[in-house]
Amino acid sequence: MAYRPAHETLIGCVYIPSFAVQVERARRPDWHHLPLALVSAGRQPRVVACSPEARMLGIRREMLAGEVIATAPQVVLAEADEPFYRQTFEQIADGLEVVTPLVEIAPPGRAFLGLEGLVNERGEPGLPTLYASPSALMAALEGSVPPRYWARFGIARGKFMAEVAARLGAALGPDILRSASGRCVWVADHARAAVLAPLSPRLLPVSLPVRERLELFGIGTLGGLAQLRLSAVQAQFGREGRRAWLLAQGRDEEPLQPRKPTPEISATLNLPAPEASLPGLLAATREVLDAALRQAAQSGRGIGQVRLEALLETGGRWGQVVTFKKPGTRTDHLFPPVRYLLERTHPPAAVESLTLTCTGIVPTLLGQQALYLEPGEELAAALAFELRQLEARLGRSSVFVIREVEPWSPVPERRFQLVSYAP
Amino acid sequence: VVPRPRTPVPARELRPLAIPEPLEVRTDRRGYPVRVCVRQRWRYVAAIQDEWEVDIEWWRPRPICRRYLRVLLEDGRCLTLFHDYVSRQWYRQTC
Repeated sequence: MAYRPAHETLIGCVYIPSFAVQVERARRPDWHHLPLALVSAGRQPRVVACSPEARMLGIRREMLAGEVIATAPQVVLAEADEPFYRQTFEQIADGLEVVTPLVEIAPPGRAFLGLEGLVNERGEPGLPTLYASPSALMAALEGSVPPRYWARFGIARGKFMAEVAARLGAALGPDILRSASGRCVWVADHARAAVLAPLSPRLLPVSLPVRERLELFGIGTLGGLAQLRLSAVQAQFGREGRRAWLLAQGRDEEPLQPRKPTPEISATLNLPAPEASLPGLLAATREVLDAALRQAAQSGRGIGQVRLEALLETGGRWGQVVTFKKPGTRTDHLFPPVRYLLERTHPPAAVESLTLTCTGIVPTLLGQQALYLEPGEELAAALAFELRQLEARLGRSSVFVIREVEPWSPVPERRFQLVSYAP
Repeated sequence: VVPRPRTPVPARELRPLAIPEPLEVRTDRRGYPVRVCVRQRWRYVAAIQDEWEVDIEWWRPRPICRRYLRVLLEDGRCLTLFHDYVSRQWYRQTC
C-alpha cells in the first residue's frame, strides 16, 4: 500500500462518554438512574468522573468528596476502580480488533482505529476491499462494542477530525454521512473544513494557557483560527500554535500508534478466604509469581515487568506494576521487589484473588547453565522434569509442599497452606 | 479480521490445611455440646476439657467470631469443635 501522511489516513474513533460511569453501571444495574460520582482513593478523594444526573446537580470533576456531599447529598459516591476500567477497555479493544488490527487506546474511553484501505470509499469498480461500502464499515464498527456500553463512532481522515466526529456526531450539520442508528458519522474529505469551521477552539488538544489566549485574542471558532496566517499563529503560540492551526484546517499530523501485540503471561490465584495480613499476601504472591515464572520458563524467556492485581473483599480492585532492574527467570531474584512493593503499598482491603501478569517478557541473558551439573542439581532437574510431565498429563499440579503462612494465627486454617511444589 | 487467540489459564487455588468441617451438634440449654455426629454416628460428650474464644477482624464484612471447645467423647476420642457466631453453625477443627 502506498505511503500516506498521517493526516491523510482514514481513522475511526470509538468514544464511550463517561466510560467509568458506564462501567460502574454495567456492574451495578441498581445505579442506572441514580446520580453517581466516582472519586479517587486517598485521604482527600476528588471526583474523577460523574454521571450526567450528577452534573445536573452541580457536581464537577476535581470537587472534593466533602463538597459533593454538601452540594448534593443524594449523589451516590463510589471509589473509582481504575484497574477494572483499564481491563474492561482492553477487552473492548480486543473486540475492536475484529474490525481492524490497528487499535490505539487513548484513555479514558477512547480508541482510534486504522481503517485505511478497508473500504471502497469512492465506489471504484473491481477494487477488492474488506468492506464493500462505508455503511458496511460503520455497521461493523457499531457491532464491535458490546451493547451494554453506549458508544459513538466517528470516521474521518486524521485522529482529531475522527474524534470530533465521534464526540459531536449529531451536531455536525448535514454534510456528513450517518449510519442508520445515527451513532456513527463519517466526515468526508471535502467536508472537513466546513464541519470544523463553526466549532469552538476548546475542542483543540492544546494546553489551557493556549486555549485561554486564543479566547483573549477573540478567536471564537476553529474557522477563525484557520483563516489566520500560520506564521502569525506560530509567532504567538509557538509549536502548540502550529498544531492548533493545522488541526483547525482538518490536518492532524499525529500518527496512529496502534498497541503492539505484546506477549503476556498471566497467573491467577483464588484465595480460600479473604486475606488481609501481609504474610498471607506475601505467600500468595510468591505462589502466583512461581506459577507465572513456570509458564515463562517454558518459553525460555525472562521477566522484566509484572503487574499485580487484586480483587478485594469490598468489591474493588487494587493494582501495581513492578519493573525489575534486570529481567529474571527465578522467583528468588524477582520476589524481593514485589515483596517490597507489598510492604510499602498494602492493598486497602482483604484480598479475594490475586492476578499476576508478566508484561515485560524479554529474551533472557542471564542464567547461563554450567556444562556439568552437581549430583544434587542433576537429581533436582530430573525431578522437575518428571513433575512437569505429570502436570502436563494431569492438567494440574499434583505435588505440594506445606508452607508456613501465619504460624501465630489463632485461626488454625491460616497457619499453613499447601502450595505447588516446584523444585 | 481474526481476533488474536488468548486462552485464559485457569485460576490456581491455595489449599489451606486444617479447613473446618461442618458438624452436627446437639447442645444443652447453656449452648454446650451434649452429642456430636462423627462419621454418621452420634456420640455423647463425656467432658469438656478446654474452652476459648477467637474474636478477630470484627471490622471486616466477614469477621471471625468463634467459641472453641475441646471435648472428650464417650469412646475416649478428643475433638476440637467451634461454634461460629456469624454463621451460627458448628464446625470440627482439625489441627
